[in-house]
Amino acid sequence: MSRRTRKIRIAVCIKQVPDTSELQIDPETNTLIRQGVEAVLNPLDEFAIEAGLRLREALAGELTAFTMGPQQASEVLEKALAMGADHGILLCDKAFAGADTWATSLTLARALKQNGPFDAIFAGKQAIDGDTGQVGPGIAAHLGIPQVTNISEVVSADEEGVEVKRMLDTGTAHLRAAFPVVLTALKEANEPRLPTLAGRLRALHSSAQTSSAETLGLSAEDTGLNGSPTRVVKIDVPRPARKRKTIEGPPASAARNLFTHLQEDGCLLK
Amino acid sequence: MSNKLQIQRFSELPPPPVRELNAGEGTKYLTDESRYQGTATALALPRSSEQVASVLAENRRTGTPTTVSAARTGITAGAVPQGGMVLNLEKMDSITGIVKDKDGVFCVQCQAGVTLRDLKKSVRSGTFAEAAHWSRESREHLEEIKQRRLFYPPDPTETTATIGGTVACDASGAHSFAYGATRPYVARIRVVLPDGNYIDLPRGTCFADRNGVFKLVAPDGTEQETKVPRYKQPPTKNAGGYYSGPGMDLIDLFIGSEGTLGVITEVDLRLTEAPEKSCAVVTFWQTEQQAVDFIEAIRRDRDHIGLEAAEFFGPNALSLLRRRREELGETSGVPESLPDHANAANYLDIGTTSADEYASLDAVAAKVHNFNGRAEHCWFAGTRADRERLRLFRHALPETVNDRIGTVQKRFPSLTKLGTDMAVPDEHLRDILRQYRRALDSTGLQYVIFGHIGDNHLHINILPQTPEEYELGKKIYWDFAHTVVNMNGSVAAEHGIGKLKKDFLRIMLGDEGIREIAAVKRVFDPAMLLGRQTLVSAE
Repeated sequence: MSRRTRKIRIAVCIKQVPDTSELQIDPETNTLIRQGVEAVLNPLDEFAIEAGLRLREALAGELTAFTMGPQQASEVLEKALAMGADHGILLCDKAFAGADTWATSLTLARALKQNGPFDAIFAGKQAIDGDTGQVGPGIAAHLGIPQVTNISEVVSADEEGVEVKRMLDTGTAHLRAAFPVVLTALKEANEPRLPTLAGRLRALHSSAQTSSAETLGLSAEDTGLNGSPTRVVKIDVPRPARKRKTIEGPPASAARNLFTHLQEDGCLLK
Repeated sequence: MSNKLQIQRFSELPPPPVRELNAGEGTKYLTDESRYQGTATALALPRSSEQVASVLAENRRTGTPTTVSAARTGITAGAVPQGGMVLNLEKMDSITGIVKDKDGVFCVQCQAGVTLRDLKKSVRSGTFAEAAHWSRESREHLEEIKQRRLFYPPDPTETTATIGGTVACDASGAHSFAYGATRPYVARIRVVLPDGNYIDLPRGTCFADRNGVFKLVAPDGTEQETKVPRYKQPPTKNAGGYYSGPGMDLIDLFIGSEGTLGVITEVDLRLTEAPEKSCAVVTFWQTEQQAVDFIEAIRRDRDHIGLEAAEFFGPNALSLLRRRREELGETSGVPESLPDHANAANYLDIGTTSADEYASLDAVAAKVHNFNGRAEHCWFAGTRADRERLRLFRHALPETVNDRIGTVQKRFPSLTKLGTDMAVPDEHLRDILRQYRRALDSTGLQYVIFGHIGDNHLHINILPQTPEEYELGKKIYWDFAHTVVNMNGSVAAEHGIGKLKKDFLRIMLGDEGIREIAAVKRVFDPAMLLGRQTLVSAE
């Protein structure tokens, strides 16, 4: 007999980002051209949604997707709903603007607490615009619960917790984590499903629940730019610092020449 | 309106940019996606209409056969040379401005070697690399189009194809169901003729008269009376032979002429309003019958739904895709969630608005339900990334077919897949599909049926395993061509005739039709030097 009296509850935290595959640089001004560029679900968050959906299916639970952003960000909640999420919650308030990873994870943690408790909270590895990878771990810290980052596989799950594989530089760690836990998923973890027609209709039919700073009980000092201990001081476009060398001539002599260069530069084993 | 086609002469011609074809370039310039091998000794890579004219004038003088080519994405060998010179337009890749045609429609003006991909990307982003060098009027038009959501609808599968190639074969794609093929988007062309003179031809200015007669007016004012072909265009998609019919716009004679009348060097392409939202749906069915019933029902509601494309995968096609998934996993391009129970599928593209999306998708879901399908099993793609996944899924089928043929070719190098490209009028869809199945199933040949079911344009790919099967497949293909022609259909709905499908063109147009094509060809190219063995035989 299960000791549980309620359904397993799963959350997934996702973000809307510009579609970088579409970004072009204006040749005259050297700035990003945003015209016609779609705002999309952070591609790495799809693996988190899929992991959440599979856990929900395995444990007959329910899945709620959270995102923080402007009204337009509800589109990524629609995507999660179309993939099969049960609920979507948009954290939307002018006061949230300019938040760094600390303020973002604090806001998300507060929303998770208010709508919780959740047994498993999934996030993607990182967002492709900010590339910090700090929000998932930040949520765990603010909620004071354990975290397992860089999950490459959810091996099994029961009502008490999950067994996962965690990818490390030197190998794979096989761990068991008890609920509640924050899990960040890698792209190796699964193959995200396509949304369904029925899911899309459901998403269009239901409107996402919205929470503001006030409803979350957050003060002006906790959110947005005011709540952010870090500042972006300057952004630089990286300049390639590599040396370039063109080796010409017939293939045989060019190959010999290349070999010599590589040897001189210490690129080949002696 | 006039029936006089004025030929012009360039005041001065630069030296022809010609060189010998290096041995190593053979694989590149001597074949196309059909893999048919040609021969040539010289290569010209012009950058302007004047250079094209100079090459053609010189070749006319020396009697050198010339084959025009560019990206070589065609699959009927139109770009494969038969001796002489390859005239390749890949370096004519400038987008030169934005103009308004006589109806006030914005047109992108480009050289023939611009790729479809570059054109579409530039239009979508409003960024044109050479805009700084455009006229002031063009730059003003650019600012205007940036404020609107315009696009260029023709969508042949190969986006690396060049504009010149797509105009020369009147290319179409899945979206031709809603938007038509390339033809209606061509507002003006410049054609350099085999003698080095040229014609500038805006749409709506020059027509054959009601007897099909028009006059070619040489630069010195002399006139030559000639006639467009009389055969009727089938009431289907069609890319077989010259466009025809009394009263036709003469720009249409060159569109789809497959590089046999002249070299199209510059084109103005009309842009049109893009839908606010684009999405795709894949429906799955237990039987082929359900898929056809669904298509016929959804076609009746096409405007309400905003249906842009309707495609089909038959039972053997889905089995092949399932096996591909098992063998290659995620890299197969076949999503894991392909339902096990499905024996047929339809792919739909839908163009709609935020306000209408629900009604449109709800109508699709209702029809899925009507034919005992389940909306929970239908894939939906609303983002660019998901639509891209479905594009890969669609492409996985022809790729699998090509892989399988590649394996057979290790044993029998001369075997190829046998791919049909035939369309029939709406009322014959069920009948033709039944006839395809009956004939193919009785032979035991491996085959798949897939393609543009919205236009009743299903591709059959036969995968022969032995030379005997290859011969049998060819015979069946031949029989199908006769069946389709009896249904008033087209034997070459989108791939064109090129060098490989001339026999089928004869089935469709008869000896008289072929003679009419040859007669028009001889007026523009009396020495029969351009595009030898394409559409008509040199003799």
